Parts: sequence; structure tokens; C-alpha cells
Amino acid sequence: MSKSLKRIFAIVYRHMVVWPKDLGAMVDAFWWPSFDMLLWGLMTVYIQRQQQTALPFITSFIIGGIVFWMFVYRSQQEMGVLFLREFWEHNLLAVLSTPISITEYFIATMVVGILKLIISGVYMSFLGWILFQFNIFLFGWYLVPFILTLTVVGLWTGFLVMGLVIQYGYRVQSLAWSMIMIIMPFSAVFYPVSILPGWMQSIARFLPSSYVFESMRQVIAKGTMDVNALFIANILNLIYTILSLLFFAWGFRRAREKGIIVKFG
Amino acid sequence: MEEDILVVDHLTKRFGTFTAVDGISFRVKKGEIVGLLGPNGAGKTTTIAMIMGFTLPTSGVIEVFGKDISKNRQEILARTNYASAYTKIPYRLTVWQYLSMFALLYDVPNAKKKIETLLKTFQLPDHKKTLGEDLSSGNIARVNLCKAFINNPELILLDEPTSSMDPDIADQVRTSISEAQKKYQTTVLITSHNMAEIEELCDRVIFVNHGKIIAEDTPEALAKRIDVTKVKLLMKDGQKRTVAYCQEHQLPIEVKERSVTISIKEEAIAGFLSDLAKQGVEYGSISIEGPTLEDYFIGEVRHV
Repeated sequence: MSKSLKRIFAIVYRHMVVWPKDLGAMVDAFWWPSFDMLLWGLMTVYIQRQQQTALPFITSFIIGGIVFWMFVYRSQQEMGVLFLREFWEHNLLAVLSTPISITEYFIATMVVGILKLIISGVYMSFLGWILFQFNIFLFGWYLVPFILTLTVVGLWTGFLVMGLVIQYGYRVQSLAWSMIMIIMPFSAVFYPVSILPGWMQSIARFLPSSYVFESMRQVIAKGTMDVNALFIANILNLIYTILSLLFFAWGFRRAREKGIIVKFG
Repeated sequence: MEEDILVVDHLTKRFGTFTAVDGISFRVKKGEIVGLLGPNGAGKTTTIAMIMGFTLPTSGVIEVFGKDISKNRQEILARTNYASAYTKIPYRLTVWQYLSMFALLYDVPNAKKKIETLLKTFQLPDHKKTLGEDLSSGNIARVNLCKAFINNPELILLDEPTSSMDPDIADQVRTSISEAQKKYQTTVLITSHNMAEIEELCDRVIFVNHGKIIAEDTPEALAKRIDVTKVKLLMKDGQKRTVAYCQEHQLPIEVKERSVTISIKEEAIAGFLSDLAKQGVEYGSISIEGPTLEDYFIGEVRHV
């Protein structure tokens, strides 16, 4: 294993080994998503029974929305919280005093986030199938671009959170949980973009997540997918990922100039 | 000629209008233990933070192993290490897991054996499975020191390693640092405002205040810059006469019940005691304390 891979593995090891021991992290990973699924799932089953012909796919739309949104929410939250954990546990200076580069640290954080996401994703898919007979595999191969695109949305939002945390520390720590909620209403997770007011639709057009959720509903209702929509979503993802990384790099430099890392780390 | 491990040249750090470090320059030679001494806010931690690259200097150059830290950070950090009283052990990591993580980060060969040896050196062999949240502050400092020596570093920066420890634990930790430094032949730059620590550990002291270097010498030589000795007498008879004598000769005196402490130049002690004897002053015991680094520190801080 190269030295660089060892450094990445060290950070992955540090976070994965404490994960099962952290009750708060377990609650975030399993309890709240289960709670959401049960609550929303039961509500949609009820609505469907009342208006069977009006919205034939509502249960699949809602459960699909919950499962897929989890990929956005969890990937963003993991990035933000993993970074914050170094602040909370006063470990950032110790890590930054080693030869690890910031790129290696980012890769390690992404690997941890994705590993946890896979575990949460499998769990949520299983729960959706057990409780509401929602089969995630009905999306076939479309699943792969859906999940990847949404995970990247979570990652670049996470980079933005990290860029803010490195500059403002604990003052902005709540963003690690709430930042992604800012884009949720515009992402049309549970409803079509067309029902949004005009100004919200304009914003939705710039969010990769809105294209994925529209495509998800299209696959459920018609069995087809708009490839162009996914292409646009990923071009937007590429732009936002680059911008968010630049924002972090700028924030990291600013934090070093202002001596913030020593203060919080 | 001994090799310079660390060269700091005209280093300055400004935070807005406040100057934390004001154009300081110093060198640390291979195998030296150098103390960066000064009161709170003197610029010690900011200097260490700039050497480690946590904080960017406003101007000046830092060279470690002959290389500019701003251009060779990763290479330099692989041969350096750092410990601070302010870094903690993650709550849910065991000591073993924590040190294993750093063994991977520094690519330490035979990591298991190395960790075992360090745990013995710093008297922690029974704490392998102890969680970070269950460690006492003394043991956290020891684990941090294990981490600081894990890669056999050529240079270690210690930022107030015994801060907030009780004296007994601090003394044990100092002994551990000293033994490990000798064992691994490491160069050490240590910040502290604990005089005993600096006197005990350091070959040389750099005294900083308000971001500037005020003095640089061995701890003994710095202490000798204060030429006043303290004569402590436990009085039997003639306390009032002694006080009057000191006031007449403008000698600083402290009186606590039957004990009087007089600050006086070393060469004047004999004459002083002789004068007291002539006046019939009797004392039960006498102790004479030479100047310490602490006297120098207090003198400089109050003077500046």
C-alpha cells in the first residue's frame, strides 16, 4: 500500500471504528430515516386508499423520494459531521500536523461518507420493501446514475459546509444538519417541479437533484427516463463540485491566515 | 559545526492591527531542547503554529531541515511531530486505535512493536484498551507524547505539554519527555510558562514578550542576569531593628509573622548579616536563595 493510501486508510479507520459505538451517529443513520419512512409511508398509503384513481403511484413516489433523498441528506451530513467531529474532539491539529494532504483528507472523508451511505442505503431499501413493498430495483440500471448523482449533490453541499466550518467553527455547526434542507423544497423530492411557483421553478432548474427526482417519477409512471435531464444534472454537479472545492480551499487558506485552525482545532 | 534543524528568520504575524509575532529570528541545533518562554499572549503558540503550518506568517521565512516549510510542508511533517496540551484523544477511540491511526499516517514500520515500546516508555502499558473519554488529563498528555514520538521524529514541537496538570503528574511527564528525547536523540522546541519545566528540560531558552525576543541564553545564565539574592530569616529577637535597618538602607523586605525575607545583592550579604549581629539581632534559621529563572521572568514581564 502506498504512503498516500495508508494516510487515507488511517482517517477511514479512525471514523469507521468509532461509528458503531456512537449512539448519535446510529440514530442519524437508522432511526430518523426509519421514522421518516414509517410516517410518510403510512400517510401516503392512507391517501392512496382514499383517492385510489387520482394518484396511482403516490406510494412509490413518496417512498422513492424518501429513499433517494436519504442519499443526498446522508452524504452531506456525513461530510459535515465527520469534519466537525475533529473540532469537537480537539483532534484537528493532531491530524493536520501529520504529512496528510488536504486532498487525501478529503478523499478519506468521502470514502467514509460513501461507506456509511451504502450501509444506510441497503437498510432503507430493505425497510421500504418490507413495510411498503417498494422495490428499489424497479429502477433497474437507472438506479446507478440516480444514486451517484444524488450522492454528489450531498458531497458538494458537504464541501460547502466544511468550508464554512473551517472558518467559523462551532458557530455554524448546525449547518452540518440543516444546510441540505435549504435545497430540499426546490429539489421537488415528493412533488413535480411544475407545481412550484415560477421563481422556485427557476431555482429548481439550477439544482441537479430536481432533475433526478423528476426522472425518478418518470421511471415509476412511464418506465422511461429523460437522459438529457441526467446529463444536465451532472454538468451542474461538476460545476458545483469544482466551485465548492475552491470555496473550501479559499476558506482553509483564510482560516490559516486568521489563526482559526489553532483556535478551534 | 552542528547542523541547524530549525531556522526562523524575521518571522512576523499580524492579525489585523494586532502584531502577535514581531520579526523574530532564532535557530535550533540538532539534539537541542530549546524552550520558548513567555507570558500568556507573548506569541509562543502562534510561532509554533506557523512552524507547523497551521497558521500562515505575514512575513518571514521558516526553514526546517534546510527546507522552506511553505514549499515542503508534507516532506517536513513526515520527519516532525507535535503535541499540545490542547489536543485531546477522540472520545470513543482506544489508546491503541488512536496510536495505530498515527502509525498509518506516518507510515511507521513495525507499528505494533513501536506502539508497545512507546506505551512502556510513557508508563501506559495497561491503557491500550482505554477509551479517550476515560483517560485522565495526565494520561492524555502521555498518549499525546507517545503520538509525538511515534515516527522517530527529528524535530518535536511541544506546546505547553504539562499545562493544567498537577505538579506530580507534570514532573513525571517531564521525566518521560527527557528520557524519550535522550533515547531518540530528538531536537525539541517546547513552549511553556512553567519555569520549573523550562529550567529542568531546556539547554537554551528564548524569552519572548509582546511578540519579540527579549533574551536568549541558558536557563542558568538568564537567571544570573538577576543579581539579587533572597535572604530569609526566622527571627528570634530584633525583628523591628531588622525592618528599620532594611528601610534605612532601602533593601526590599517582606515580613510574614516571625519570618522576614530581604532582597539583597549577593556580595552585600556578609556585611548585612554582620551589621545585624552588631545590633544584637538574633535569628533561629537562615536560608539564602539564589536567583531563579522565575525571578528573571517576573522581572522582565513587570519591567516590559
